[in-house]
Amino acid sequence: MIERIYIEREVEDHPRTKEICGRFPKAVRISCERYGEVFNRKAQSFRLQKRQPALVLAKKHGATVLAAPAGYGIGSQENFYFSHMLNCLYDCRYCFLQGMFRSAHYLHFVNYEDFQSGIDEVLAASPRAHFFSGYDCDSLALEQVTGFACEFLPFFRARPQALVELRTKSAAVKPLLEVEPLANAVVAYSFTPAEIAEALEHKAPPVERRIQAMEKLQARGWRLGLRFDPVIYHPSYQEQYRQLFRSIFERLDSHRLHSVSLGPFRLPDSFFRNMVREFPDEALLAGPLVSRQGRVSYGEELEQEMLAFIGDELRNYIDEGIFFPCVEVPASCQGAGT
Amino acid sequence: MTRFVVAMGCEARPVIARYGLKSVADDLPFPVFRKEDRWLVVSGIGRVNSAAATAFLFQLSGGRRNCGWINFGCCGHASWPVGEVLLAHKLVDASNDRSWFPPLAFSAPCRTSTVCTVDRPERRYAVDQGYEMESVGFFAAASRFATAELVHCLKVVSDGPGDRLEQLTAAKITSLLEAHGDTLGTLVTANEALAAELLSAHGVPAELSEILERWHFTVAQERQLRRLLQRWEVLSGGQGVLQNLPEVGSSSKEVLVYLKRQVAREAEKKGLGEDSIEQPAQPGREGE
Repeated sequence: MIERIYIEREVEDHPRTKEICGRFPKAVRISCERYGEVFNRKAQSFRLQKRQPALVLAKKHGATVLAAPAGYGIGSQENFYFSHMLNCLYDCRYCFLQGMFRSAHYLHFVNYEDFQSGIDEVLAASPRAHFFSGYDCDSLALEQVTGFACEFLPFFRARPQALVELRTKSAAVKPLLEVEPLANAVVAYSFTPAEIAEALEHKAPPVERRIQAMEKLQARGWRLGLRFDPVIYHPSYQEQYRQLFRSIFERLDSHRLHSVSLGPFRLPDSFFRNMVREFPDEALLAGPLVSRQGRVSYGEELEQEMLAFIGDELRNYIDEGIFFPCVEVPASCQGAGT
Repeated sequence: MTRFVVAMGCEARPVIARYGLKSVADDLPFPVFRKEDRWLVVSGIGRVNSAAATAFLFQLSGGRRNCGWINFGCCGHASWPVGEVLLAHKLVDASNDRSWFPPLAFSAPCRTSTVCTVDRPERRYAVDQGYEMESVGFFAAASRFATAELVHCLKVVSDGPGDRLEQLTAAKITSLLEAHGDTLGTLVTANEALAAELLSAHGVPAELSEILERWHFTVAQERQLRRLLQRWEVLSGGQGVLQNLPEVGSSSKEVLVYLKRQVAREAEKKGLGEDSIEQPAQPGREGE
């Protein structure tokens, strides 16, 4: 799976580096001074690198925990995110990562201890803060490589007033099934209708497998979230979303869900331009999207129509109290990810 | 669609033979060989020559971006045996310690190694890596003309610590390189597949030049036109739009308005959305 591992000299002797390298004994190891020499250089193609991404092991310098953009939250006013990894195993054509980075390598920051210090600093001022981990990557998709959940779940278990969201499309939930569920963790699954997922969410587990994974997690006692973000248009979107909700809610106990969120397809203008540069032949990006206030999305009328319809449908299944539609999205809110 | 850059005639011979290349002309600054869309330049020894020859070949071969670029030749290696072939995964400029990392978007056809570009033949072999005299110049130049995933250095080990370079004859170098023709072939095939993917995705829309001949567009309008035609091609599955254009009037603005409507209509038919609204303007492609 991983044929090459680039390693920053500074983390060559980090225990996590050694552990990860040990999992890929056949991978070629290439040393670099800073990950910027390898990742996101000019004259790189996200599209081509996505065919065979390498793993980059590096140290995250500077701020490890950042305030989440406005409109991003599931019930708290104090929302933060941290990214132990940049880029994703999956290849969703609507994802902003393809517009944010020139490189598709998996950039993994191994200094978890600094992320945890950063979280503790935030908690000192905001003890009930929410932390989102699946912003620049899928929280669980590369768990076998990163051991992220195994490391951070015990950390949050010891900080019961905080809440952490693991956002994912991964069906590989064995690591979660093997441990006692956390009361202050939410495993949040992203969905688009099956037809859209098949067309746009390359390499991601099909909708059905995600639902199966959620069933197992719910049975085990994990708190779950549903994320319908981004909403993608199709002439039959109403029936598609109805069908999706039927599939999900006939299998999951909606009363035990932690939260459900809904958000439009939106991208900052600059990311959209980069995505078009990489994928000019992608029909989704060739469609009638509009640029307004620095972000690209569907036309306002269509967007509102879709969000209203899907929101109303969701309310047939869930209590209003756990529903968090993404309301105000400034350009800085980077939109559709995992 | 491959551009080969080699330092010496003896390194060119196996490539020329494998791909049936022919000399382009006698009066060029660098010897150049070609067959169809595969070109080869013989740069001479050293990073400056390699960079200059790379730029020269880019222009001579039509200035097309995102072709595959391969620097093929021999190198010394601190520990690998003579005759072993390597693909560079890291290039080091010995003069300033700067590094480049050619990204591999395919499985390497052979072992990979760091290659250090030096200004004089290496004698010390202090670090366990390859040593040669061109790669850094080649890579720095070629990655201005193609995305770095398409630029690679393939080297065959011709000498190592203790070997006397005087004994390394042109015939021996040719023979060492010939032995890895299949590795070169695998690399060329993989690289050309990547280049073809980009060409297919980023190709100039079929009707762009004809429209530009018939109407005058400003630079900004031309960008709009290019993207509209790309969108049209994606949405319509490659249908032509030109046959209807004469009806739209005489100004470039009218052409753009007409195309926007057509694209919006086609998008609606395809179920991608219902609003007929402009996307943000695309800047020129990098380097264009």
